[in-house]
Amino acid sequence: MGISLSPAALSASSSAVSAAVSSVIRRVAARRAAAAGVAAALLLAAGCGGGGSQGEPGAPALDIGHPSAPNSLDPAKINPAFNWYVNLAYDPLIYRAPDGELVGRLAESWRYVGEGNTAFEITLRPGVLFSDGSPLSAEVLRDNIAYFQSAAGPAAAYLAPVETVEVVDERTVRLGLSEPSPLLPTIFTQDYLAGDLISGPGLADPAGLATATAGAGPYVLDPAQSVANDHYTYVPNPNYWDRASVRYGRVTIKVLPNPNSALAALRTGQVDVIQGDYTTASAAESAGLRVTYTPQVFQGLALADRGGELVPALGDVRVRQALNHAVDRQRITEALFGRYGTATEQIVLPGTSGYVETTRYPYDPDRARALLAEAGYADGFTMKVLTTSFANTHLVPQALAADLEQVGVTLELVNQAEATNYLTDMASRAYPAYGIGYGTQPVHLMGPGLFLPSAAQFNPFGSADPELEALYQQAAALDDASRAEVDQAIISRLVEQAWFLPVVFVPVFFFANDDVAGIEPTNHEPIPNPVHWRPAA
Amino acid sequence: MLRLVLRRLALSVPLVGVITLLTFLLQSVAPGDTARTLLGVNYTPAAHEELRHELGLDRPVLVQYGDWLTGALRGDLGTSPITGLDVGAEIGNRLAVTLSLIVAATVVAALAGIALGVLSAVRQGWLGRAVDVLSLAGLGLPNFWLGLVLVSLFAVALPLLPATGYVPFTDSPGGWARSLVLPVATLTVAAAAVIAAQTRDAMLAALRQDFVDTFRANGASNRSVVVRHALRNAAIPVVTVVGLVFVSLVSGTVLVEAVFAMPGLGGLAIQAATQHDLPMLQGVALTFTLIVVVVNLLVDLTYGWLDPKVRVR
Repeated sequence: MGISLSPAALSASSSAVSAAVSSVIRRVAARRAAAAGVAAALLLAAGCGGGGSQGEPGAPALDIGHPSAPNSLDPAKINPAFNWYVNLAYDPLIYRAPDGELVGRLAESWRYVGEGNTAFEITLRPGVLFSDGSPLSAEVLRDNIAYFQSAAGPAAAYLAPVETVEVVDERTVRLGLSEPSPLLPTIFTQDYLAGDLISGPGLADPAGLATATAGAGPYVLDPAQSVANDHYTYVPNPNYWDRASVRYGRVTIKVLPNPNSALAALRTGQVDVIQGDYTTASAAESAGLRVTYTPQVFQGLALADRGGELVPALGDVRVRQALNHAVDRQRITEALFGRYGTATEQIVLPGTSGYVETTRYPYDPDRARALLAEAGYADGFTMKVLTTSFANTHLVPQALAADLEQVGVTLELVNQAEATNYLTDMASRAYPAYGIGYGTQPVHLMGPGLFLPSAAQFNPFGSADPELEALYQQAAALDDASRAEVDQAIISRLVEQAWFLPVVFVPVFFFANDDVAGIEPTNHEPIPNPVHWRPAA
Repeated sequence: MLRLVLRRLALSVPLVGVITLLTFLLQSVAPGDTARTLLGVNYTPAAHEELRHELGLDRPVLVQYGDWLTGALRGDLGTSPITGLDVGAEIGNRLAVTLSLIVAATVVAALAGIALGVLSAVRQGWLGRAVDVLSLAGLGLPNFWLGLVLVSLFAVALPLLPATGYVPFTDSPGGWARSLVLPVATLTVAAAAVIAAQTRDAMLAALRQDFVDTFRANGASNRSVVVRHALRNAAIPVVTVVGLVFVSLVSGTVLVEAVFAMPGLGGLAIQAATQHDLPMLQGVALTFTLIVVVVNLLVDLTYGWLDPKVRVR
């Protein structure tokens, strides 16, 4: 362990101490000299150029700030919060455009075979090479699916129904599913990463995928210009199949954990784009930066103990409905998030599949009291609620607690600062309700993670509703057009049964300077893909 | 002196063992585990158990610790199961950042703190009180806030210095110095205040001793009395507090590294703890412990240099 600096430093410190004391005694002249020395040092430092990453000569460069370093660069293991780190180097099979349209990338075409969404066929784009020069083929796609399933990362759950992978010809693969899965095209987009194909040599060395890239995307990680957990530099992939679409000679993602520091880095030109948050949105606008945002994460409460194991009152649907009536969503939204928030009683966004236009729970404390009395809880009750200050998820539960107190329901809020501890406590079945912040997804994809009995994390009591499950199964076998109606029935059922107490959709923010265009978050693509950003005209 | 060094080194061996064992045990009983971090939120209990088994997390904690210790004694700190990075290499990459910050901040704080403390003790009166007030103000300023203010002033309003980032010395000595100015200034204020307060007390005590009057009666200059005799006499508690400041800066850099987006050990420790990255956390804990051991040893050696009686003991 090289700590050789310390003795030298201490030795230097000793002599420096004597020098400093002498300067005190020499009074004014020495103070002036010291001040001049500091000023000279600062000027010298200010005058020296900092180091920087080198890009392709003449080509524009893009610098992006991200709040965290990725847990891995392996698309089969990376947390989806870090998608930008793989978006640049891995083209997906299918691209989801900001308007929601699915566009072929590595896949030339795709389709469900027959009825019931239990067989799916993908035909690959011809002539595609990975950044390491190896070719894309049906065998590589087959091996990728096996790897994603075994890698135990976030995409594995979405690919669990894939039972067989048959290579039909050199560009075509057919997937056999153990149960209907209607959203495979979505799962193979950049959002869910399962379509971010890894090269054959990359698959042969899975350990190396954590720190290097082996994709068929427009860029490739340059390890010589990258420092893990600090900055990641990508340069154009010489083998990219669509070279004309590559706009930058270098793209660097810098890790900027503090939102205020990230904003300062953007204002001083160290970066061109950052993922912001609502605490700095007004400051960003005041500084003349471009601020774009779209609602994405619903916050509120999950009334998890729907069987009344810990708090019998929650086992009565009238009580859960009463809680939904007791909260003034619009007031809380405006107070906490101003114009950036969107009040909601549903877990899906307006304009997306499943959204129900009618409002079931207008703010009505009298109706809430009446329902509580009807259920035998006219005097109210008390329950423990788990919250977390991670991503400020605790703010909405704190705000709605005052509203619930007005109808006699007291919340004992227990906060866990760390997300990991919060998730562990949530799954422990020790809390009848918990504060939730959940990035909304298509209804079918939210089932296994959020509201089906198998959702170990977010449905800790394993709440089951046969009607809900029947609707879910029915939707799974339908095509997109027919499924929308059943998705609405699922959301209606969740709202009616009041399994959740959603309050607000919190947006994701992006701040940018005027040098970059194309950052357009939408309901369909809340996290814009940097691959499609471009230099402003 | 050699015996002193050997005795201190011998005592530090159990210290390193206890710290690493405690870190391992505490992280093992903390909620969550590596498998959950890897699986994300959409996992099944069966998949979780399978991955725990695969990672060896279902073995007794002491067996896991024994494995880690065996590797560490061979110089192999393992590989992060979360990031796939070699722990030793990753710590080596970040050590220079953290040591640059701590050493520079300690040197600047010692220079400023001792100068202010001596000035306060020698001059007293309004100047002494002003130094006291400045010292208290320095102690009261939160590092985190101060860092953001300095960025606003010297990076945004007056674009003299970079708002964030670290430039390795080998890439650009000038860039390295520029990247350190604001974070070091942030760390220095409170540290200098502590050293100034300690120096002032120790100097006042030294200046009240009889030998000072004797030197003055013999015609020694004020400078000679203060620097050669009183300061040397007061140096041991000052050196102690400088050592403590160095050690406290090891943890103090955590927030400052975050504010200035510097890839140091503090950020690595937080990341490893929140992700249940046990090998990485163990590596960081071991490094921090070794830094503390080395600094304490250097402080002891300095005592010996300042006071011959210590060498004899």
